[in-house]
Amino acid sequence: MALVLQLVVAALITGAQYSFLAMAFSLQYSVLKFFNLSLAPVFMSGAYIFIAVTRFLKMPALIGFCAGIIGAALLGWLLHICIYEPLRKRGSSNMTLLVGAIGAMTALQAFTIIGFGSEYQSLQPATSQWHVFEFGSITITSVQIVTIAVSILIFLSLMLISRKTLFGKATRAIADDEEVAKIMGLNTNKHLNKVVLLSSALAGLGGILVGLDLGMSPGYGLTSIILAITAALIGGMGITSGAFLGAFFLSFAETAGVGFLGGEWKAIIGFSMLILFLIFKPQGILKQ
Amino acid sequence: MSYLINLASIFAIYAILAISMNSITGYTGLVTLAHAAFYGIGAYTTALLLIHGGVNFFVAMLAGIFLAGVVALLIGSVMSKFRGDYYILGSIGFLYIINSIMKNWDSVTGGPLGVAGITRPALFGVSFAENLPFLLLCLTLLILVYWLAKWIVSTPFGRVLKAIREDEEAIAVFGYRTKHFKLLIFMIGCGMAALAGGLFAGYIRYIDPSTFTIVDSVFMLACIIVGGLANVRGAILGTAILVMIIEFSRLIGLPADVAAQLREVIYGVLLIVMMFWRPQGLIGEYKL
Repeated sequence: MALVLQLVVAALITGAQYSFLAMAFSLQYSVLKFFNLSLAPVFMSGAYIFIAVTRFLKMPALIGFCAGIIGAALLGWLLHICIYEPLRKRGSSNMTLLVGAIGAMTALQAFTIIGFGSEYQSLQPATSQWHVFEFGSITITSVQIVTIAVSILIFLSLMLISRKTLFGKATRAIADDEEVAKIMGLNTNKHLNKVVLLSSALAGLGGILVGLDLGMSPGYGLTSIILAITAALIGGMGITSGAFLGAFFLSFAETAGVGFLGGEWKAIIGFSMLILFLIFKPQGILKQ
Repeated sequence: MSYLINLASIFAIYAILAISMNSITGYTGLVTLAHAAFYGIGAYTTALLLIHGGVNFFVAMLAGIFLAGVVALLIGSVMSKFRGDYYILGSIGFLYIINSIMKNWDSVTGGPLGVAGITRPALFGVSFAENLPFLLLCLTLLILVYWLAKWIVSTPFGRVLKAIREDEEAIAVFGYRTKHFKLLIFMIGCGMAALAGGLFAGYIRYIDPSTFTIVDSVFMLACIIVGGLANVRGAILGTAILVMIIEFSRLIGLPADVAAQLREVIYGVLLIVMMFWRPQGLIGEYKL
């Protein structure tokens, strides 16, 4: 029983960690309709900017946190206005956009290795340890609790934004049909920029929170984005609430699989979920 | 002179990879990033049979091609159901799964340490142990693969592949079972990649899982996109250009690890530039 409880808590933590990039990807996919793999470096940039600011510039963690989120938002936005927006204006196919994104991802990942080295880096300040809470047999650190709380908070606020605000309505209108939204007088390009900024900031936030718990290495970005896409696919492509649920579905499946097979096969379980859903339920669990 | 021989051997191996990927991606329009996995299957099978089985190099290489064909049959029959973006996503999933097996199945593959001590072959009293004879072997096989690829696309089978690329539904209406065609070209392409893998194992004499990652698939994709999609000569031209770029980055005297990353930056940027400037490549016949 105690073991099951521990596994459930572990799955909740992992699910919350997946949920940020999954929601960011899903939000962007709902309007841009292509697999933006370059969200991987955007996700990592949050963590690496945090490292640069706190370790090299010796600034407090809060400034690093803000700088990471703003930096990630700007990186995502720059990629959008320099690559994807012009390609979309030329009427390029999704495949062209995806190949462009693969190019951007490869180049930025290599830049990260040049700047920070390819090895794993910890984001935790060297002087302090996370506070560890113990409830019976369960142990959980303060960062992990914050991650779960922020994940739920972001999910709720995204739902609220989507339902109640003009921004959310405009996003849904573009997701439905960009041409019609344009004809109805919506400045779609401007709105897409805002969505990209928001989702990139969210990805950056995820990068920092994941990094604070697990550390960050340049190879982690691509794995993360593929798992995020898997989560988004499980929930139904382009449904933000689905991505949130999908992230937890994925983490529970992974945790269960690791329980049976052992930790070294974790990656295989995640990617097998991707393949299984692509074959049997490409529309996801929420979409009809 | 030995420098040029080395360069030419690497070029010949990469050119086989590019031609094989071009027959799947360029001619049939299926963008796959799983190619490095089959390259790896070829290399591992050749190396392991050679070292543990004491089998002749060429027999081991044929076994590698056969195994890659069988795995391609399994993976391809799943992938043939996917289209466009989802095809790429599925291929990334399979690449990760196979790479993860190479990394974690320690007892067979040697885990992250890989396989060392691979010997060069001899055939009919001719030894390929020196670099020059081995280069001639690589070039002979490159020419064979070149003619095979040329021949395939000139047959009625090849014309159906191009028709699938242009409009899969339309050609299906004429009674062609497009899934079978997609599957067969996938198997042929992956078999050729396994051949390149065998040559690579024989040439470098040491293999490990880090040679068969997504970065290598992106390199092959960059080769065919720069040279030209759906053009066998284009694949060779693209490989020549990219191998030159690799050498150039080595010659300007940067530290080895920075130069390695700089190359990846260059492939990435090249992919983006090609998407803007010529999505079909320099002498290509098909736009993504």
